[in-house]
Amino acid sequence: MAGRGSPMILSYSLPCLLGLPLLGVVAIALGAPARRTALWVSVLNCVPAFLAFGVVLRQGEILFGPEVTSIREVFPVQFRLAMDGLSLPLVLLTLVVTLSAVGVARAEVKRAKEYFLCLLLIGLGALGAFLSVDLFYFFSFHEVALIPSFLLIGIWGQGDRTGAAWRMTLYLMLGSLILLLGLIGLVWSAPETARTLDWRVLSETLRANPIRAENQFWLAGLLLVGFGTLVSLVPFHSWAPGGYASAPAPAAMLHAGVLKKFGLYGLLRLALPMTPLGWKEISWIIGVMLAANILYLGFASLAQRDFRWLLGFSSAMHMGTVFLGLIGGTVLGLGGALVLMVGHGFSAALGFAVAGEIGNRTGTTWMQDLGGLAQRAPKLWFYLLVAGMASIGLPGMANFAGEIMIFFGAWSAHPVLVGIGAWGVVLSSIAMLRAIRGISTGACTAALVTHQTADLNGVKEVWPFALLTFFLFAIGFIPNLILGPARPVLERILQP
Amino acid sequence: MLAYTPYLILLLPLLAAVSIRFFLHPFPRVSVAVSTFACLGSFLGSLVFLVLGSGEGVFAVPSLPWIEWAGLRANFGILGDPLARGMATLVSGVAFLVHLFSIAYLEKDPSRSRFFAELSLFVFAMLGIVLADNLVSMFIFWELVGLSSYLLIGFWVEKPAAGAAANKAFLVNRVGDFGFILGILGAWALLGTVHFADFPARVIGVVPGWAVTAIGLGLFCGCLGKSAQFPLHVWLPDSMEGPTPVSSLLHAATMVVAGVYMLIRILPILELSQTTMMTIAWVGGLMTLFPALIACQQNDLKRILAYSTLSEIAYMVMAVGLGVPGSAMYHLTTHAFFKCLLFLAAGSVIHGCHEEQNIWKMGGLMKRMPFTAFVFLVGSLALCGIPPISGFWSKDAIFAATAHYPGLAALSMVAGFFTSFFMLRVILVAFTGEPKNEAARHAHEGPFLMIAPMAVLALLSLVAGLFPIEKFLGQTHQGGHAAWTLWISLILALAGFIPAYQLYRNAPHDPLHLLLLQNKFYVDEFYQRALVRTQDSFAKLVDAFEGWVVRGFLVRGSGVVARASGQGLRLVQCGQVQVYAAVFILGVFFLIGWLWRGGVLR
Amino acid sequence: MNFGEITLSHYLALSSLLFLIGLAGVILRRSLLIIMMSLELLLNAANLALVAVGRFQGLPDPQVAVFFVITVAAAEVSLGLAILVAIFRIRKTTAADQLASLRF
Repeated sequence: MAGRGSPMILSYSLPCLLGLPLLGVVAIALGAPARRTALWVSVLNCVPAFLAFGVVLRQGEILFGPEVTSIREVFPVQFRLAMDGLSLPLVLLTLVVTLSAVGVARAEVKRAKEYFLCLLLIGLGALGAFLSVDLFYFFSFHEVALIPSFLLIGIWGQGDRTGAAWRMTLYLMLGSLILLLGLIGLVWSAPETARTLDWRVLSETLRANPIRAENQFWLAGLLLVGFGTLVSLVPFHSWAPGGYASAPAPAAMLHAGVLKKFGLYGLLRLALPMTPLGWKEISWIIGVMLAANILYLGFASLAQRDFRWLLGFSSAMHMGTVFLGLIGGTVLGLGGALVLMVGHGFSAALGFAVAGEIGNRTGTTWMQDLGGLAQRAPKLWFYLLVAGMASIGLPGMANFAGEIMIFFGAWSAHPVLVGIGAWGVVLSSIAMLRAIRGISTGACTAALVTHQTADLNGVKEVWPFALLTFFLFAIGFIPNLILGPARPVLERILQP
Repeated sequence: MLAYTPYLILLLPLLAAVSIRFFLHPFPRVSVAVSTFACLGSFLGSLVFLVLGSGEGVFAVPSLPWIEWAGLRANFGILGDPLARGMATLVSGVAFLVHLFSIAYLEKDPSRSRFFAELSLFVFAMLGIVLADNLVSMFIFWELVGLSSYLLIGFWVEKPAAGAAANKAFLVNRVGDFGFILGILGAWALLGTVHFADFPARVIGVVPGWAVTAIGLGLFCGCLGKSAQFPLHVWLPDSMEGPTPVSSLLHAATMVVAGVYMLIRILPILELSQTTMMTIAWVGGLMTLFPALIACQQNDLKRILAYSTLSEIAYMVMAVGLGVPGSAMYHLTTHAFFKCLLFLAAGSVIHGCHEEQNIWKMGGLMKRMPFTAFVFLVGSLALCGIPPISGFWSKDAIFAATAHYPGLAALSMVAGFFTSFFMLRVILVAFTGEPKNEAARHAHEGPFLMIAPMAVLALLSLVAGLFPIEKFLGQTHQGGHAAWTLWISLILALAGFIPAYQLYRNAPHDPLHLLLLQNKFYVDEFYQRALVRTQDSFAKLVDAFEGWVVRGFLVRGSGVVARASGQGLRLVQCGQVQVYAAVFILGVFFLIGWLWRGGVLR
Repeated sequence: MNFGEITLSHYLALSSLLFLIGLAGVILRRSLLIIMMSLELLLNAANLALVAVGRFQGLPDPQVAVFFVITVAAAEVSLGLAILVAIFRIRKTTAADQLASLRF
């Protein structure tokens, strides 16, 4: 039940991780002060998280739930949770980004109750998805996270918010449908006596009885399209820039920072170990798609005039580099992909948080109208620089560590794609630096000049940004924090 | 434990930068002091490291783990060989002098805390490049140096031109880094390691071929970006938008020579391919002349010095390409002294003339700022390579190496001619004659903190030629003295003074109007038109495609199709019961027929 | 005259003919009352077929079924006529094509 040798009580930390946000949701629905409850819940959630991290660091994994049974049972779905080296960084990412998102959100939004409810639900959905062992819960928790984001964008967003909300949600649901087909296909491919929804057992079963090669091709394709839509892989990317640009800052932070990584996590957990031959066969297709991600979205981001749109395109573009790590076929590449996923989550969250603050204080994120941030709001400018420099891969921050490992890991298999990835770094630098310059220097816009407290004011406004920055630097300096526990898991994924 | 102490050299400036940025920001005096003392500490540490380790060859320092995983070993380590130790001493020493100068130069600037934080960050990053023991950690510090350059060039955030220049510097460097990283990957694939210490052993037995040449050229790309050689040189003149201490430290003495340093570190790989070496030598050779010509028609004091920096770095690059890295390092050292001196003197002049940078608005400064004029003269003589000042010896060593390559010899010596020409032009216009401006009339010397560093650098520029510097740097002084190169280069250098004297003595305005040179051979315009505009047009095209075809046609289009088919299909619900009944009956008949055919009914 | 035996087929043919007439009435006539009468025709056609099969095959089951059908038909007619009267009171018409408000 729990990991080998650790007290059983510690395994209860996993359902606590899910239970606390749920409690928070109920409390807010019953009338507790919305932002404060959400904040407290997110902070308290770190306690079971640290306990679980401790167990994982010592034992390699932590489990919760009844023993697995085969699918022939009347009710085959089991509520089983697990965390290992691969999900640990993603859970950490979710917790930190949720905390920062709630921190960035203002208490005086209209209908605050529903707003913070939605934020907590997204966090809950993401945590559940990363912790679930049963494929049913894995899929469902992700769907749980979709509807609140629809509401958040549609009600509290800006720009073409209703259109963007509809498009994003329907697109993602279509992707989820394809994903579901892939998941069902995976489960049905197992021999009949050993069919189970538990991906841990399924993984081992399919390793022992590999799926036929042509089936693997189709399954890998389905999973790629399904998960790829969730990760905004070209050509299934159109929902992303508009969706993020129209979303309120906390929603964008959670979606771009956390929910996107769900798709990549799914590929790492399911597609790579269970359909290895299929994955290899479609590598060239993935290569084309990721090249398109980097180049096509990179050039599109150059033409953007609104900072939020630029961030949306840029964050979609960087997913291409992660895919490069996934098809590299080396443990180094996978490790780099994981580090970049986490780093990108933090940097995208920071970027959208800064964009949100700029939008709040000046009323616009249209770069031509902005200016003078460096003079008027130096603290906000600093975080703008951190977010921008992190996303373009400045060493010292997590994104670079991930990217460099991906480049080294994928070099022998796909040197041309690595070249394209490196050029993508240049492209993203051009776009981001132009944006930073437009926002930081030059003439001040009227709004910033008259706003009394144009800059971030004191610890209570700075802490979400500082938190994200801290993690960016921490992982950038010591990538082993993530790579250490993840190493055995990643090596196991690639073992034939 | 004791073995980790060399890391203090790196740690002190980093701590200074972090503490100033996060805590000491509101206290400028404390920030300034912290930053300067940190730099002093690094200098003393480097000095100790230099002296202690001498005679031992490579001083072994254990490395800090970063990524050591699955075939890639890229940790933070210090390669303590004489080259690194000497260069670290040089960098930290010059940086310390610039710190002192900046205290006076920026004493009225309200954001000087930020300046010193960024300056400390630079010192940290530059020392990191110098002390790095493998290509990956060098690349990391390479980028950090680019960051600090970006921050420092754009220091005056109110100036839009500064922001543009900062962007340009960072982006052009990034383009160079693109080639650099591909080169690093190729080298790793070829040799299985990225550690400098392993290169000499691992290159034995590597068969030269196009791959090796490509790897060498890729790595050279990094140098092209950082050291501003053609075609990535366009950022350096613009970088003069930054404060003058920045120009002197980063864009003259230390950062821009990082490319040359890197080339020396990877020399075993470069030497595998004669093509690579020759390419490097010729790029260097051409770049000695090309900026020297441009400088003859520039009117901004700092830009003239920037173009001369381009030319001098080209000498170093050429020396590496010709296989005499010792001479390159020699010239690097003397150049650090006299170019930093020239820039500090220029800073003193600009400060004295109340921020005026156009030489045609100065004049008569020799009487009003005699010390500055004197040191400027010393620096210029060093730059032009006039004996017995240090610049002569180092330049001569490089000329000697070109003895077998008449094309390169011609290029570099003619460049020497033009160098003398434009330096005398500057001296005559800015320092002699009558003041052409109110500000120039009231010019005065700066305070002690400005004068002292200049004095030290002037002294070093005078005497550096007498010491066998390259012994400190672990390189042997290669290439003897070829008499004919010495004489011809000296004659050309002296000859350059003559036309300048004729044209610019007591000249009220520039008698020459060479548009091609004034407009820098239109390289910037070419880049703007060919590259930037094309890229932006393509970006707009892609964005339009994304907006109209993908978002509009495909996504919204499928929504339109769904809605239209709904509109069509709902007409089936006509409300007429009899129609429903008829459809029902037809369906039943159809079902019966189908089952009959299928043999289900008898 | 002897036209041959009356077999089951004759009865079934008659039943089908009645069914078709009833069907035509349901689909083609406008008046609700006529539609109801045609529905009765449909039901009686089915009854005829059932009785004939039962008589010729000697089975008792169809005869039982007929009883059910007659009962249900009676109930349905009374209910249908009651609805028809109510509709006429409200809508003042019994034309089927004018009672089409449950539409798109």
